[in-house]
Amino acid sequence: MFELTAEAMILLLRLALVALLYLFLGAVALMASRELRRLARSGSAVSPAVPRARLIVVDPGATSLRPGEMLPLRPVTRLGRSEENTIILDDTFVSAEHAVIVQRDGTWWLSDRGSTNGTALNERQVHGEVGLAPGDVVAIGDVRLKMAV
Amino acid sequence: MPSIRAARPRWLELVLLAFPILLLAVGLTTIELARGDAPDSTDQAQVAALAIALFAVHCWLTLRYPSADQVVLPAASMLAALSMVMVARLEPDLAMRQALWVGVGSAALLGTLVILPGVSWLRQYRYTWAALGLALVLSTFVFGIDPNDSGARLWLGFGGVHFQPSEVLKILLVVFFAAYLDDYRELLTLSSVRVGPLSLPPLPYLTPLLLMLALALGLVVMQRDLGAALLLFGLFLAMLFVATGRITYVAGSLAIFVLGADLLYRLFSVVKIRVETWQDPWATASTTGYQLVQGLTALAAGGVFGAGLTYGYPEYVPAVHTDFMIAAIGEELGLVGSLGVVGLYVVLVHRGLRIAIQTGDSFATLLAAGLTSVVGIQALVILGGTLKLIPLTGVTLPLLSYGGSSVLANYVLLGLLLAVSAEPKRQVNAA
Repeated sequence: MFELTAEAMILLLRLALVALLYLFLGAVALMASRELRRLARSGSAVSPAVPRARLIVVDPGATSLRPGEMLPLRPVTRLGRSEENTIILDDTFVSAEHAVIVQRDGTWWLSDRGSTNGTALNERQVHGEVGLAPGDVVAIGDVRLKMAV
Repeated sequence: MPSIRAARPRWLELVLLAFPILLLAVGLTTIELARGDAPDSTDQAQVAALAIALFAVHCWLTLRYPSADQVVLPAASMLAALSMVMVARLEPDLAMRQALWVGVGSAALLGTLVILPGVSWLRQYRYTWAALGLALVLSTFVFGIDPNDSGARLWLGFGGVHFQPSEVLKILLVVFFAAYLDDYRELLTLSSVRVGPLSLPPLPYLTPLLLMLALALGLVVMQRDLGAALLLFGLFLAMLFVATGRITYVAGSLAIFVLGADLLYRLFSVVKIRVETWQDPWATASTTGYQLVQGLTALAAGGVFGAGLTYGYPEYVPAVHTDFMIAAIGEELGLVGSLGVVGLYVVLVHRGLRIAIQTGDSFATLLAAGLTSVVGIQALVILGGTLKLIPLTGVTLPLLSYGGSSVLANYVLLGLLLAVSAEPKRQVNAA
């Protein structure tokens, strides 16, 4: 009759302990690699949803905006002091209808609407329509807004 | 919001949860057999306690958070089971207590999931959390006790239970950093102040953050809790990098770290002793280097496969059941066992960062990344210290070390991580 001695039993249990540890790690690794392969096959990695363009308040000037506040851009975004605007800038240096940003051909275009104090893009006065790229800073009165997508 | 309807089974989690329960049963049986004791009823009690606790958490997740990550709980439970085995081996008197703590921890994990009205609720009270964390640490200056003669009064005690506020501070700081960095991340990525060739970050927006960090670090350093200081600083770096993606911030902070470390080296004899011990523990092997030398000897004695549970002599290593747990694992389970432990931490960190990437909300991303960093950095700080790779600073080995506040804090941390993983996922581009 074959009988397990205590020593053999302990050895088996020792092996079982380490085996459990590595079986667990193996199972997790196997699952992770399967998951990656499935993602690769479906051709889509995890990525942000539709890019949402927005303006970030860098300097609120005298307005009630908060630094760091995000203002989402609409296909047509009007900026100015009056209540009709998409983004209302309640600062005395801002004209009632100051500037507008429109989306065309996948780009955002900024133009001044004949304001008294003008609009600047990266510290340069805006004449006509100029394209906006992420990181650009729009200056209206004392307000500084950074473009981000 | 989670709701009770058509619960989707979490098969993967259920299957993986069998491993820690088996591991505990095998480990405890080995110890009994090797000691030549009759099978003890406390063994069955421990295994049953773990199984019940895990099953309860699993059921709650299945009902309320079916989309939560399915690997975090099993991986953490593997560490908890191993911790119970090692405590039963090293300090048999504390075994039932550790089992109890794992049970209380699981209850705290559940409690976190039940009470938390949503991850974004945390960010509303950012300054409350920060103040609470500092108040807890400050209170140790007045009421602090030192129950195990470690030379630092880091614990608060009530009714025979000792509790270490720095364990709570780390979680509260993660929440504060995540909320603050999320509010100001856009501004922080924008350099506004230029000094010569250097573009400095917009300092006014960084001030509250740096103030908070300085306060937290100042407090823990004044308490000589260098491990916690290292952990909090590493956490700050990791979260700053995740929020801004700017390597210059990290480089700048590291430069400040080098200066600060140098200053501490000159100011505090504790730091000087730690560095000297790290450079040559053998010179002071009977005094300040004793713990490190004993730890290294234990690891060397274990070799690749280890002496086997109860066949080593890890009791010569001071604090072997808390900070130096890996020395005992290395001696009795060998390199194979220690690498397995490192593997478990890798799995936890991997899942945590995955949760951070997948979540749709930027605050939740920072929160998950921060919580994961806490586990990863803390494991690195103490493993590196034990292996003489970096100067030794005492922190617990997350989820493995014996100790109530450590176990409890880590389970709350896991609860938060699971709550983030159950938040709506970022949309996957189909087209």
